[in-house]
Amino acid sequence: MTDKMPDNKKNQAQGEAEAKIISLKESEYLKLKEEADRANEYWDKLLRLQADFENTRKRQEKEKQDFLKFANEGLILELLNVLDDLERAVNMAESKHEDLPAFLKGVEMILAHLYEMLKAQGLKPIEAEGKIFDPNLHEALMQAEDKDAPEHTVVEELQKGYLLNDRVIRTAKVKVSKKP
Amino acid sequence: MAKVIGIDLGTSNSAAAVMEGGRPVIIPSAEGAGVASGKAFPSYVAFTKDGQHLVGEPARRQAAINAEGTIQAAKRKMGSDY
Repeated sequence: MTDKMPDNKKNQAQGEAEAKIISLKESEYLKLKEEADRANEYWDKLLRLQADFENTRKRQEKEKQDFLKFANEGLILELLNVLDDLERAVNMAESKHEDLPAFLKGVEMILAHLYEMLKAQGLKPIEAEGKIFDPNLHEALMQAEDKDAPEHTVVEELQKGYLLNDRVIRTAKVKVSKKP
Repeated sequence: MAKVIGIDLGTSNSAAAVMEGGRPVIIPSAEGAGVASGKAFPSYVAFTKDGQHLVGEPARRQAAINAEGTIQAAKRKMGSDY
């Protein structure tokens, strides 16, 4: 840039740079130097802290991933019992396939067991049929005219909804009434 | 310190985020995230007949029975006259 400047301007710029030299008392100089040193120290600290924070965040992310991978272990162990029972039931049905009532009873027991197990994990079915439609728990898929039911009553449950530890994990898919 | 909030106002889903430790983090919706939209929530607002104001997931769930009181895909209507 300076090369392209006319000579007189160049001289002027140099003159200004020279004019910027100022004199300080020693105490003032030391104070400024001290402040500059402190600023550098803070900057250094900031960079370290930021790097530290980033490392911590990455480690936590990894820990969370590992945790999620094995958090289901307890649940899966319990599910293995259900798997065993179902395998046994299928084997039974294959070997002597005439006793349907006994087979049905067995499957019902497995179902009850699975249900109890999930209940112990904090699962609760959402009550829908006959209730007033609540968008926090239910999802309206259809509406049907019904002169007997009050407006916006759930008249049919198309898919069951569930709460896990009182949080909705799946809404109940429902059919809702409408005054004709 | 005041924080800046970034809003992704989408036609179907919306999300809002703040910077946390140099990274954007999506603020989870109190009403819950939408179905298959990650941490975003549906761009729905509803006014029910009994006077409730609903946003996000609950508003979407009742859209089928309250079409006249539910607003969706409002982004498409931006700039149009009413």
